[in-house]
Amino acid sequence: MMKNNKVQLSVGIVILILAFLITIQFKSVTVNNEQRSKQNLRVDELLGELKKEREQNEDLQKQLDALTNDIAQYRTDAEQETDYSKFLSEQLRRAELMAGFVDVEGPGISIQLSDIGNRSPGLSASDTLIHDEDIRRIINELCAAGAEAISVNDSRIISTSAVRCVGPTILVNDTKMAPPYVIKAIGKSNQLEAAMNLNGGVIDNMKVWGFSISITKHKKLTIPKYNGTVNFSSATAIETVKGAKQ
Amino acid sequence: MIIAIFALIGILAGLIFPYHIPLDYSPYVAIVILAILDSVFGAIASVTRKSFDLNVFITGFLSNTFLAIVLTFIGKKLDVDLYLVALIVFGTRLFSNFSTMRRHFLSQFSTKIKKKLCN
Repeated sequence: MMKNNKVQLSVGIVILILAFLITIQFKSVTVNNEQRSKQNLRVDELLGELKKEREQNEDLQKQLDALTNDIAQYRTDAEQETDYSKFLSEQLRRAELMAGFVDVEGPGISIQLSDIGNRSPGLSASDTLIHDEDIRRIINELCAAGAEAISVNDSRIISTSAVRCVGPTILVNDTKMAPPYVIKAIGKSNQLEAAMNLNGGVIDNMKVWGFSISITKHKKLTIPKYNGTVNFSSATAIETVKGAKQ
Repeated sequence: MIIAIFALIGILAGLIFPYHIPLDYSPYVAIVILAILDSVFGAIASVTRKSFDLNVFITGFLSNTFLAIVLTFIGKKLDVDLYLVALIVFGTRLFSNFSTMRRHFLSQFSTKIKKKLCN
């Protein structure tokens, strides 16, 4: 009888563990599956993009309004010479700001990238370097996220900037650069950071290779102006507003 | 009777338990469940065979669980699904133990009927 009790107790304890584990596993599997399906659902992300797109549309509309206003003002100012010079200088300032010919400051993010120091056996030397392509893709992503001014190692990216590869270094605006690269961008820092941290995005892909990348948000960031000169020799503007010409 | 109470306590404890197992450890728990299931079925089968030994049961339970966990762990490190080994062995044993149990109860049942028929 004594032995029988012992047997029942031990088998009972084992069954207790079994039942406990099975219930926990049941619960965990459902929870984990829910989490996985949540990760797969990118609805939130897409909604965010839609919202961004709408905001962009609004911005563009505002820009259009501003430009039409400008045209109207050109017309009126063409007649009244007094305010015209003031207006022109203001226009010039705005154009310079947009073209990247003035130092700018504002909120934004900075991204620091460096090559892989000690390379693991499976990687070739080329795999451990940051390429011009990587920098280009980050700049592209930043632009898409609404960055208003971007610089790579304090070299301003403007409309004619090229990012090229020269051996182990990178050429930005004809300036040779070596790692670590610091990319600064002024814009809505939360938006920029989110764009950089996108799942499967540029940074994410680079991190897979083992690059050490750090993103920091700044309340105030200064980006220097473009140092070189831009000469347009082939392109000339087409005059469409007749009123402005007169 | 006692076994049913223990099972009930286990289920309740599992329901009350506030944490859940992270995805990485899920395979371990699954294989442990299978190992215990195998032990329990083995125990019941051996009882029907009247060859149940408590020490064999306990050592078998502990070592099987341990080996299953180790296999799963090594398999993860080697990127080979080694837990399949444990899965197959436990699965086959489960069915063979179940069949001995079935035969035992079936024979018991048929002898009872025969007795009734003779009376």
